[in-house]
Amino acid sequence: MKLGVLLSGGKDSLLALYRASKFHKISCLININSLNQDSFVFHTPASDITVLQSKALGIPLIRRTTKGVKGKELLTLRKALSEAIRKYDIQGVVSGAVMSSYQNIRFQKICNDLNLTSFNPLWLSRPFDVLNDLIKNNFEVIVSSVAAYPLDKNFIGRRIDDNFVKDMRKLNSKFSISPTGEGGEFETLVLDMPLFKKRIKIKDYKVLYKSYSGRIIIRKAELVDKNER
Amino acid sequence: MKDNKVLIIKTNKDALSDFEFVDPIRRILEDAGIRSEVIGYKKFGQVVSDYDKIIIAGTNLQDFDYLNEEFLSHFKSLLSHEKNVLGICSGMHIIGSIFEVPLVDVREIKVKYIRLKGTWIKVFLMHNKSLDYASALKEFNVLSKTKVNGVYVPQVVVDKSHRFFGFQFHPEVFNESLIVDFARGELCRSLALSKLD
Repeated sequence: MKLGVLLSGGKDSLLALYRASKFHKISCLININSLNQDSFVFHTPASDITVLQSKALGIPLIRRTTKGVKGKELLTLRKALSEAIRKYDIQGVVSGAVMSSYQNIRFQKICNDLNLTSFNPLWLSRPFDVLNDLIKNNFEVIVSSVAAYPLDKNFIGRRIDDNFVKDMRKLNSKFSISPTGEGGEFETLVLDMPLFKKRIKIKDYKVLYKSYSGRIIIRKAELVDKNER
Repeated sequence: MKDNKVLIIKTNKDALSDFEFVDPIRRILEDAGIRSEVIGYKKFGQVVSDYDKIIIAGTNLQDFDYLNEEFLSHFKSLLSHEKNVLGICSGMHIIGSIFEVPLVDVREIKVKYIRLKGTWIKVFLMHNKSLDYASALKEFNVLSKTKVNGVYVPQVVVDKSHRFFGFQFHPEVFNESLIVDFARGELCRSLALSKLD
């Protein structure tokens, strides 16, 4: 089966892609660039990185921008999926939904209307299993935004590794922070993963931050050889 | 408490759907300290007697492979075992087929509240078909229902012998305890005594 993957640029969509790639051909990527930073459906920080991720994977990207008006942003997704069917003959779509029934139901409805099979290979996964799966498979993932106390400026840019998992266990138990950022506490972006032919190197960036809310602004990033740091 | 062992029979055609429809059930049971094993529908007939309870899992919205006659005929053998069986979504449709209850096209893809055992519970619904309500009433006690465009949709059913249970919704979402209660035999006792609210 030929599949399209809803790509946000973050860990969940790329881990979902990785799992799906073991079963089916990934024919295209679909990114909805929401201008609404508080979108309930689409992950927004640093979604420009999806262009480089598409090149790193060698898989074409369909990218559409939406103003992110609630209810209307899903029309953009519907159009993008219709285009993916026409151009790449996809029969199914993969999403990185983990816990959000709100997000899952909206994707399921659109896929069902378009006769696409919906696959959610992370659905209801245990949060620490997701983190450990990323680490085990050598994903290079950094935190791209924070939006919850006590996640401060130092948290932005942190890599998901064993120390991150250790800290998350404490933050989860003391402040109920979701280890995967499922409640919007933080978002991530993927710089490298096993299917990338090259890794993404951030050459220039700045951090916008104020009272436990902030994000990375990438000014310049490029693909480099996997062993180049 | 008896150490129950549960057999999860998967109904999804595509193995990629295991992550979504089979693994969550397995994890819920594991977290509750209940042993389970997963098997495909073609092989389960030989091993049913090794397990205390059976769960028939659901599948994705576009997968109707479970409706083929060969698939369904395997499940008739469950009538000859003295086991409690829980069917989830497409698993409930399979239980319906064992009792020759037909399906109708009814779509519910939403989160909704249903009334069960005197309480409103939030459920995750994702189906394009359901048991025909009038036919279901002849073979099952319908313990909860919804209404979609004037059509009643059985949401929870139990057969007259109190061995076969069906949930049209996905209890993996919001209602993990129903799966655990089923595995421990507690659901069978409480639902067997229930009536439609």
